[in-house]
Amino acid sequence: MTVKHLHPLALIQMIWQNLINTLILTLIMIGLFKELDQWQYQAILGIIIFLAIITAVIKYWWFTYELDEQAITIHSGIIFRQQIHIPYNRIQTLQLKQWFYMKPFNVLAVSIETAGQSGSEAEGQLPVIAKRIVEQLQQRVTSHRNEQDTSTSSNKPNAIYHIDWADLNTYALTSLGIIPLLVGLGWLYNQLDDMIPQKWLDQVFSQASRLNLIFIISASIGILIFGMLISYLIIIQRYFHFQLEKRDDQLVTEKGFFQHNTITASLNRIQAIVIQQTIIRQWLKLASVQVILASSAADKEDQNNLVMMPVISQHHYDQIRPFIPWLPLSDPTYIRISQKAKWLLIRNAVALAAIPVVALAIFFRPWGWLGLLLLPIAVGLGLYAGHNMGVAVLSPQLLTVQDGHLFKRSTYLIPKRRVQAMTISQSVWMKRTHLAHLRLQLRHGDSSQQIEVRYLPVQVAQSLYEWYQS
Amino acid sequence: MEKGQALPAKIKTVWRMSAGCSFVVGAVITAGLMATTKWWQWSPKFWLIFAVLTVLDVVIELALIPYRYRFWRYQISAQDVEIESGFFFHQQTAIPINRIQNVTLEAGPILQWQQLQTVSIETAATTHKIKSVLPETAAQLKQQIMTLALEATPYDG
Repeated sequence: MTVKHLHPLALIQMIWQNLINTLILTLIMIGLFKELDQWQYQAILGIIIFLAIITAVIKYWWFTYELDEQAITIHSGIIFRQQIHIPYNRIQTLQLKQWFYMKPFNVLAVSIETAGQSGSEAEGQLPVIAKRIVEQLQQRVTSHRNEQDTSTSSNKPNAIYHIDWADLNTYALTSLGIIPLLVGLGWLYNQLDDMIPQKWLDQVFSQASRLNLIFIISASIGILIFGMLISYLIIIQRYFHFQLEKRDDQLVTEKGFFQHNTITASLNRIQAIVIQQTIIRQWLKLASVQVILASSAADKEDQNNLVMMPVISQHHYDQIRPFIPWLPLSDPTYIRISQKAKWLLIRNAVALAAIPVVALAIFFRPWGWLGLLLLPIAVGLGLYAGHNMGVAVLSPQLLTVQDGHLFKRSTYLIPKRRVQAMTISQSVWMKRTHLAHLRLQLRHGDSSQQIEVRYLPVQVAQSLYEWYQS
Repeated sequence: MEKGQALPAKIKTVWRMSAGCSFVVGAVITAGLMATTKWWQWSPKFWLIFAVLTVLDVVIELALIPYRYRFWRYQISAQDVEIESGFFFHQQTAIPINRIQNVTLEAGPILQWQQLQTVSIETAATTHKIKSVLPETAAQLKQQIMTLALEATPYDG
């Protein structure tokens, strides 16, 4: 197979990227040289655009890839030449992204992930390539996979799931996306603060202070509602037309409105299944089903888990089984922790909250006393954690753990062979109360995830440890 | 567990040495801070606090050596490696042999001088360390773990 360049559209994308990257620099430059004529500004702008185009062209020219019989090779870099060689049978997940503007050109962006530990970036990235070539790549990957397990391949999916519109709607409504959004607004304000002259900002604020309180309150409520609307729309667009398919030993998810996103992951790479419910969704009997993979091609928004079903009614867990055959048939009965243990969790949460509360109360009188409001929240967190902490052995090969962190309940379903190590931990004080923590280590993305069941009765912890060793 | 193997007794010398090293480092920094007090009129509080901290650190480190040694145990069976440590904060970890991805032997200057080695056992998720073993034990251990790992059903990533 011959060496190929990316689709020409990639060139435009690279130029655009360069311009974005230099935008802040440009603004600073213009800010620095205030006393310039118009033609001088134009000249600077011209030079910047010219450089952006030239570097993009060079980068484009040096970026090549080859699809061989056994592997894909990607060459990139100008000064530091890089050659990435990925054998098809090592590919763990394949992610395809198509922004709406790429659709008319029939091109896609591809990320290729292996189990190697390469940091947050995918091992292989092809920003813009033709759909025809993507299909070739997919075909090679599947044929190499089938060689290994000699199963007959069929192009028909074995199971298929579509998101329920009503469920998606409730999911978006109950998402707490408003908080990240406020953080985002804060960040934006900081950026503006740096870029826009202080004089303008001062003017805006002095005007604002002249207006009455009612206006300010209604404005902030308006911003809040607007923020919620935005976060609602973001979620709807992200999971628009979500679809999950099982093809032989692969899971394929498709989703997205503005950016159509397809992720292919192989079933036998799954480390664990996580069912997540925030307290609100718990009340509405809704849950999100995610998969922990040994590669990080999945979404950053979801702690790098692959979202299998963004939202599903708790009554419809049987819909997961066609995709993951080893899931339990019925709801397991968890071994819950004792009253004493629950009390210890509340004590810990309060003790942790007490540090900032005391500091606030001492250094910021009298408003610092408001910090006391943290204490009931801490009690709530402790109660919630205690209520949801639990563990159960489902079969000689399957374990399930439940925990509640920050008013979010996670239920983990973990095959024994995916638990990398298990630790029992017990302090001297816990010896008296016959309690112990149990820790499980899992592979998660490029690193590890620790799952901890706290304050278990020591006999239970010991029996689980023995279950693991057997 | 309490039935596993203890670390070689020489490790106590190593720990004493490393406490000595902490002392030397602390002393050098304290001397530096004293110099700043002399020449740049920094507050003498800095070096006093640092000196106290150094002494405390070294004393605690030394005092804990018998305790650390007493409760450190490891055991290698056909199925797994078990590591146990601590009394006040007791921890017992099991690493099944077929989860082990690789085994590394390493030794810093102090360990080399005492002819000891640290064994790092890596799984797909975490790294576990057996603080120190005699070189013959280390080689034997590596051999044992690698043979067992080869026999065990391979883990497929």
